[in-house]
Amino acid sequence: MSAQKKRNFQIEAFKHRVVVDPKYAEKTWKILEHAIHEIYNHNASGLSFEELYRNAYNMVLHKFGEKLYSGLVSTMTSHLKEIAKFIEASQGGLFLEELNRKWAEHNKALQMIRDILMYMDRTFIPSTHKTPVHELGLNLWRDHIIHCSKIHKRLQDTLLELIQLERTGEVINRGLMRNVIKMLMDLGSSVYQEDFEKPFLDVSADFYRLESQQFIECCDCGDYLKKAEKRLNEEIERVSHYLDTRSEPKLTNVVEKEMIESHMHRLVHMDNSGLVNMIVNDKYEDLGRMYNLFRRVSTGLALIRDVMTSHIREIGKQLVTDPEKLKDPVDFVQRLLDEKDKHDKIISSAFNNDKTFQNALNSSFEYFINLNPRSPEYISLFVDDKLRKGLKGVTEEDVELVLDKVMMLFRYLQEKDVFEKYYKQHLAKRLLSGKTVSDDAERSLIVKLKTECGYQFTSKLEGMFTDMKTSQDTMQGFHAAVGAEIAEGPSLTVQVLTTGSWPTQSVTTCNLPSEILGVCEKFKTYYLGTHTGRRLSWQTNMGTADVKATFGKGQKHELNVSTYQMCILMLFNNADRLSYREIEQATEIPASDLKRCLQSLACVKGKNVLRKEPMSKDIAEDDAFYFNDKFSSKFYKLKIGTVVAQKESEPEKQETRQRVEEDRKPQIEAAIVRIMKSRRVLDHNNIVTEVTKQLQSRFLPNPVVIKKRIESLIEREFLERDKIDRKLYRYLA
Amino acid sequence: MTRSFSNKLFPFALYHICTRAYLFPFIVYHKQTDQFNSQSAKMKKEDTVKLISAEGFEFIIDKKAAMVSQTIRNMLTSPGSFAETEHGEVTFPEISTTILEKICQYFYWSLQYASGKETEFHIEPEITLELMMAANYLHT
Repeated sequence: MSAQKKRNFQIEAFKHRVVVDPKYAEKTWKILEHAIHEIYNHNASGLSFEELYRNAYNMVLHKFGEKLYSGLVSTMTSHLKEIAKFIEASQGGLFLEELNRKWAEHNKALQMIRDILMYMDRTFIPSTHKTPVHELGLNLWRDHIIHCSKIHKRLQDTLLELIQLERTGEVINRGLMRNVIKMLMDLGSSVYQEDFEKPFLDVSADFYRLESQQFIECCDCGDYLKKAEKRLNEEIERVSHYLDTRSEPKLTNVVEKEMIESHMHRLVHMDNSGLVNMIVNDKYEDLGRMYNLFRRVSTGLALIRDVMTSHIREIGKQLVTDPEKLKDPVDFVQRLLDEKDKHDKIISSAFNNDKTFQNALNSSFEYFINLNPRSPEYISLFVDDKLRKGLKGVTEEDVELVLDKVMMLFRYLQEKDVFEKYYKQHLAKRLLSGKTVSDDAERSLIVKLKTECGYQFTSKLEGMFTDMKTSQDTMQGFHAAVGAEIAEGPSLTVQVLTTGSWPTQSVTTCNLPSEILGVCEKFKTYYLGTHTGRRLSWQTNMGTADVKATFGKGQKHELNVSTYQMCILMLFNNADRLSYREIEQATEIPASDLKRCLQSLACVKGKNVLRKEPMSKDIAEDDAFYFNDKFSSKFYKLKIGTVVAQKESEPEKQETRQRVEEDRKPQIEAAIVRIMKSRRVLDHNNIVTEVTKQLQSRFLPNPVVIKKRIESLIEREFLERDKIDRKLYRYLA
Repeated sequence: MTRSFSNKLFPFALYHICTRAYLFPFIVYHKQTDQFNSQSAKMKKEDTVKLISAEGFEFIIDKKAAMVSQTIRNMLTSPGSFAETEHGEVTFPEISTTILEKICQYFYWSLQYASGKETEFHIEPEITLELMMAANYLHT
């Protein structure tokens, strides 16, 4: 072979210097065996590593590996048996220490043996699939020491007993515990789990079952949770000190199950200290603790949430249905806001701002706010109150804050269109009487409503603002044009309102005094002169007037009154006594308004510019009225408010409700047509759900009403029923 | 025995002390030797190990280098105090001086190679077999 030729050296059979004699193996093993004994007797310093290694090396090389290995096993076994006897004999408390010391020694010896037998470990063991030396040593230790009948049980009991002692507050040798448990872990995870972890978990479960039973009998909820938390932390600490970290979830699981899960319901519903009590008394710390502990249990948070929800619903229901609390709408809304703030704070400070809790809170509020059909009206009244006077002297940020809170309540409303209706009315009153405190606040709220419900919702409200603005301009123009002509007469300010943008009220004109009528006519001609094709009608029920009056002793007062009141007062320029009937005839003010006006003119103390016969609180149809000569007041300017029903009276409420229902009809119809136009064919149930979905940002349509609308649309031939399937509707283009 | 270290791959100081037959120690000079000499003066006994060949030649080398051999590493780090650990010297009655010298060279070369200097290690064909056997023994 050419390759061979190139080689300039030859491979010769290797000649060992040692002659292979039959006694060789025996002799070499004796040396090694002796060495192992010496190692176990801590006498290794005299041994030569190289020599031992060389001997083991040669034994393996000369195919005596098997002998070496079995010799090792038997030698080690006999040593371990001796050690086992020694450990068994140790007294009580020294047992663990002895075990630990022997373990450390064995480990060291094992390492030395492994080192000198390394060649066997490296070549002989893998080829014969035997257990490597180190592992062999551990296995032998496990079989002869840990699983030795006398040691096994004793070890387990000792460990568990020590842990029990520590749980009852005594100090134990944690270092020793750690070493012994580390030993179990070193012997393989199965040893740790089978011989220690499992019984340990069982004992822990028993312990905590018993303890939690004791605690729950004698502690209130807060204390119990404190104790449970302490225990849990103790166990976690225990794991970090001397147990396998993988035991932590198992151990905490046991504590959670025994201390929390099995007593969860009882804890939450505990009288005088349960969850509801904590919420009522704002115990953030306890609530936070409860949250953190219950979170560990799968159904824990759901339980807290459910109880909290039902609690909020309960108090909310009380709040919105208690007739006492419904008397003052502003106070009512304020209470709602306070309630919301309180629970928001609980969720943010104790419940980790948990989204699911926030949702639960929101849905609870949505639930009970809508229990009361007057909520939209009250919220609007609250805003009205704030915008009239409540926000005076308050910084811009605070205004925003209040408005944001109102918007939050508004979001809960299902009947947003009802709110819109009331809001429009209240806004109209505010604008016309010039009572708005801050234009910015008004506009900011409109913007908020717009972002919440869209352009459609606020377009009319914005229209009202525009009207106010253009009216100002018109008045300037009017005064510039005809100011000189009317300088003598009463001055007039007119606000031109677009029909449709403003809440329509049945026009009930009254007879204006002739002085005023003249100026009004002038304005009408001026206005129609610049804007052709428009119609003006006077809304006398919305105006105000400043009247200068001179009383008996010559003192003068300026009275700020409504248009109606002004009409009545003007009558007294020509007469001192007028009966109710005469006034009614002369002014043609609607009876209910007239009565209210007269009441505020004659019956309010300090502002009674009229005198009434007989003197009584209410206005009767046969009363007579006199100009009150003796009237006096320390103020020059006097504001005579109409006795306004701030809250709507029952019939008014009915009326508003009816108007809302009327307004909903076209909206529902429009929604149906929109849906059918895109779908062409749809069955009844689907129409109802789609319509509800489309309209829910404004209100919750009643399915019965939707059905009626569908029928009406069929009548008007927008839709038709399918000829085969009567449940289906078709869109007729 | 030749003691010309023609191999230029020796960055580390290598003491080759001949105790019996030739009684003059020698030092290999290279670029860095001065630096290493000054270092070697400070070299403590704990940092070095003496390897003794079958013929009784002593090689004093860094422990770090010696530990390239897994066997020597075990020898020096085994928890029990074996004679070798105590005295800091290891006798190899089955390794000849020539081979042990080559092995020491290899230890240093290996350290250098591991630190990123990729060079070749030259082995004379005559000693290949013996060297391989020693390598098996030393687990290198």
